[in-house]
Amino acid sequence: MADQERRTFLKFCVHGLGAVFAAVLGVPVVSYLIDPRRRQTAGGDLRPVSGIRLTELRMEIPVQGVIRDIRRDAWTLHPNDTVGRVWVMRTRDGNSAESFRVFTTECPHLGCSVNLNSDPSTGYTCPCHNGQFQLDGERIGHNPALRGMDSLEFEVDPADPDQLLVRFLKFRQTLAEKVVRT
Amino acid sequence: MHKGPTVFGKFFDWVDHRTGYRSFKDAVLLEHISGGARWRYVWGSCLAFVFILQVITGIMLMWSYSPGDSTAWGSVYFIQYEMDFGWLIRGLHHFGSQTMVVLLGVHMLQVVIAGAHLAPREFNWWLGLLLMGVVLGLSLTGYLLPWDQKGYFATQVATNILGSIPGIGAFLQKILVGGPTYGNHTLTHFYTLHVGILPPLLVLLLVLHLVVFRRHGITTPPVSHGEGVLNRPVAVVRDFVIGGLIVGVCLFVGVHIVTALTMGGMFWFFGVSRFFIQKRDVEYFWPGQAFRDLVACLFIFAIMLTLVIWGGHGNKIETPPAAEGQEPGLYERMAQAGRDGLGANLDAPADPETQGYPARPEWYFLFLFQLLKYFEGPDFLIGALVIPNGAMLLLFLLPLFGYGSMRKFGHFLGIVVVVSLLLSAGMLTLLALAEDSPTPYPLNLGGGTKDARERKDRFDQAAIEAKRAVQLAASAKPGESNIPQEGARELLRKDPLTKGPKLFEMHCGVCHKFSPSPNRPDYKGWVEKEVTPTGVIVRVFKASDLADYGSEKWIRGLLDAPADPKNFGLTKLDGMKKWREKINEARADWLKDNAEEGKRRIAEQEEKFDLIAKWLAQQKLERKFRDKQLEIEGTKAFEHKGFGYCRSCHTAELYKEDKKEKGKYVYEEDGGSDGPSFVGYGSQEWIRLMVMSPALRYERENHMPAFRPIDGPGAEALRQEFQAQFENTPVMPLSDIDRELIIRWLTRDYRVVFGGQTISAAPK
Repeated sequence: MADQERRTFLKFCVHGLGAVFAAVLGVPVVSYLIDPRRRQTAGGDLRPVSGIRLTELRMEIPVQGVIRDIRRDAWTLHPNDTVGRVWVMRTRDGNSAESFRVFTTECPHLGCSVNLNSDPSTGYTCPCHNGQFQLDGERIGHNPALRGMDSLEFEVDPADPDQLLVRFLKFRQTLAEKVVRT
Repeated sequence: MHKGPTVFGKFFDWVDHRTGYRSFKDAVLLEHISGGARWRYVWGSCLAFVFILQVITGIMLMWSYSPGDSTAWGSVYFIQYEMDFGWLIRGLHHFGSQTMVVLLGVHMLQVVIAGAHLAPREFNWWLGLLLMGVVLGLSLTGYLLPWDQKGYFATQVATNILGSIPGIGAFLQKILVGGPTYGNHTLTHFYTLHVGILPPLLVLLLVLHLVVFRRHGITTPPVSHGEGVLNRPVAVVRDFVIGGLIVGVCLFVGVHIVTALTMGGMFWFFGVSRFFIQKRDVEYFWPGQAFRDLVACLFIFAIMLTLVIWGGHGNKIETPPAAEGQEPGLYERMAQAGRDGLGANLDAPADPETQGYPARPEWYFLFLFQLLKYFEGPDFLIGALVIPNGAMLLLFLLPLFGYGSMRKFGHFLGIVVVVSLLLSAGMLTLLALAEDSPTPYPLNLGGGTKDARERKDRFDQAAIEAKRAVQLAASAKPGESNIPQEGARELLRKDPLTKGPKLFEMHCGVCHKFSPSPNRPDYKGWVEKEVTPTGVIVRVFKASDLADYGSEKWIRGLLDAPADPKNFGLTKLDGMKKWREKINEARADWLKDNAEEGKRRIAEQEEKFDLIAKWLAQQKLERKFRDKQLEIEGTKAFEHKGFGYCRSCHTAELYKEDKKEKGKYVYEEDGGSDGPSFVGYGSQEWIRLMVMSPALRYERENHMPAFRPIDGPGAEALRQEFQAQFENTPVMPLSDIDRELIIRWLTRDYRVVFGGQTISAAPK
C-alpha cells in the first residue's frame, strides 16, 4: 500500500512539475507568437501628396497622387516609401476645402486598388470583384462593397497653393461603416 | 485512469475502443527496469528533452527568421531585441545547442561506464554515434544563420576544411556554399540543412535508437539492486564530489556562478535524494524513472535559463529614460529584457570587407580549432581530417572489442577511449582558451603573449562594433528598428562614428592632424608619430589640427596664436597671422605708454576675444537655437573697430536693431570677402562647401584640394570643368557618402547616412 501511495505521489509530482514547466515555457512562447499585435499602422498626420499640382487640376477629372512616408517593415526601415495612393478630383473652382474630393485607392470591399474608368465621367471600377463607384465615391449597381469609397481628410498647404496635404489612413475592409485600421 | 462512469471516463473509453491508445501508452510507460529507477539513467531522456525544446524554440525562430544576405541579421536582431520574449526563445535555442553537446559527452560516458556499448547493443552505440554527428551538424549549420561576423568567418573555416578533402572536396564545398563565396545561397543551404534535413534525420535515428534500446532494455550495473541502500554513503559522497568538481571547473573557465551552482546543485540534489530512496528490485519506468527524468530535465532547463539570464552575452541598448508615468510595466520589462543585454550574443553584421577578424568557432569546437595549429603545411590534413575521423572510427569500432571472453577488456577499453578522448578535447579547449588570453593561464598553459594581447584588441574592437551595430539598429521605442533595406551591414559601413575616423585618416589625414580630445574618448587621435606593430609611422602635416574644430576653445586658440602649427602655422593662410602681429605690436605699444592702462586694455580686449569665440561657435546652429543676447553682443564685437575689425575681411550674419522699428532685431548678412564667410560657420553646410570648393572659402592662399564625387565615365568632364573655374585648386575624388560620413563625424552627428540616400538619415 505504501508503494501505491508512493506511486500516486510521484505521478502527482510528474504532472505538477510538467504543468509548471509548460507554463514557464508557454507564456513566453504565446507572447512571442502574437508579438505582431504591437506593430502600429503608421500615418495619421498630414502628409504631402506628390504627383499632383492642385492649381492645374481640371474639373471632375480625378488624378492619382502618391503619399510617401516612413514605412517600417519588421526590422527594415524605409525612410521614404510609397505608403499609399489617393484619387484627387476638383469639384469646384478655388482652393478651399470644398474644392476637392480625396479618396484612398483602396477598395472598401477587399482592398484592391480601385481604377479610374477610361471615361472618367463614369467613375471608378475595382479590378478584383467589379465594385463600381461614382465620381463622388458612392456605390453603383450590383456591388460587392458594403460602403462607398473612403474619403480622406485633407488641407491645402498654406505655403503652397499647388500642394495638397492628406491625412492618410487605412480602413478596415468589408464593413458597412468606415473604421480606421490600427 | 478514468474508467468510472464520469463523462470524461466514458469519452476516453470511447477513444480507447477505437484507437487502443491505452495499450500503446502502457507499452511506452511500463518499461521494466530491474534494480529500480536510478538517477544515472536520466541522461538519454535529458538529451531527448533538450532536443524537443530545440524543436519548439527552433520553430518559434522560424516564425520570424529570414535567410538572406540582407535580411538574416536584421531578422535575428529583431527577434532578440524587439519581439516579446524573443531574447528568451533565441537564448534557449542558442544555449540548448551547447547543452546538447555537453549532454552528449555525459551520455556517452555513462554508456561506456555501464558497458552498454557492448554486445548485444552494438547497433544502439552506432546509432548514438550517428546521432552525435547529426547534432554537431546542427550546431555547425545553426552558428552561421544569424549572419553575424563570428558565424560568417568561423563557418568559412569549416567549409574550407570540407574543401580540403582530396579529390571531391572542392566540388562539395562549392555545392554546399552555393558558389565560390559566401552569400544568399550559403544561407538558404545551411537553413535547409538546419531545419529541413538534419532534424528529420535526427528524429528518425532517435526513434531507431529508442526502439533498439527497448529491445535490450537498460544496462543495469553488476550489483543491480539496493542503490542508495548498500552504497548510500559512497554514492552520496560521489555525487557531492562530482557537483563540486563541476562548480570548480565552471568557475575556472568563467561560467557565471549561478549557472555553475545550478549544475553542481543538480548532483548535490541527486546525493541528498538518496536518503529518501528505498531498496527495490524491480520497477516500471512510470512513474519512478519518469519522475527522476523530469527532475533532471527541469534542472537542465534551469541551467539553460541561468545561461540565458546571466550568460552576459547580449548587448544592452542605451535608450533615454522613459518619461514620468510611461515607465514600462513588469510584463514589458520581462518581454523586452533582450534590450537589457539578456539572451544570446549577436555579433556585428557579417561584412566581407572586414580585415583580420579573429574567427573562433563555438567553444565546443575549439578543440578541433586548436588541433589545426599543431600541423604544418602539408601535414594540415592530419589535424583537419585524419585525427578527427580516426577518433570517430575508433569509437565506431569499440563494441567489436568486447566479444566473448574479451568483454571485460572491451568494457575497460571503452572507458579508456571515451575518457581519454573527452580529456584530450577538454585539454585542447583549455589550451585554445589560454592562448587567446591576454593574461597568462596558470601551469604554463599559455596566454599573456604579445600576440594574445594584440588579439585581445581585435576581440575588443569586434565587441565594440557588435554593440554599436545593435545600438544603431534600435530606436528608442521597442518594436521599431532602423535597419536599411540594403542590409544591416550598411549600419556600420554608413556609421559616422565607426567609419568617420577611418575616412578622415585616409582623405583628410594626409594634411590635417587630429589630436586626442576628451570629447572623443573612443578615438585615439591622428598624430605625428604613431607606434604600430610594424614600426613607427611619422606623418608630416600641412594644415590645422581639426580636433574640436568649430568649438569655442578651438576658435579662441586660433585668435590667440594663428601662427601655431595646430592652427594656420603650417598653411600659407597669413591673413590671421598678420592680424595677430598687429595686435601684438599694438599691445606692446600700450604697455610701453602706460603699464597699468595697457594691462587694463589688454584684459578688455581679451574679454572681447572670448565673446567673439563664443559667438562664432554658435553660428553652426540654426538661427532659432542661437542665444539671442550673444548674437547681439557678438555682432557688436564683430563690428568693433578698436582692434583688427573682423568685418573688414569676414562676412557674418549680423543681428542688429531694425533701423525702422525700435526694439526689433533682424538678421543681415554683411561684411568683407577677403577671409572666409562666417555665415553658418562650423555647420555641416559650411564644412561641405569648404570640402567641395575650398576656393570659395579661402580664395587666394588656399592650397586645399577640392574633394568631389568624381567617378565613372563622366569624371573627366567634371574635373576639367572644375579646373577651368578654379585653376589653382587640385581635385580629389571623394564620394558623396564618404564626405557626409566625415562631416558628420567632425560635427559629432552620429546618425547613420541612410539607405543609399546621400544626406538623409534615420530619424533621431
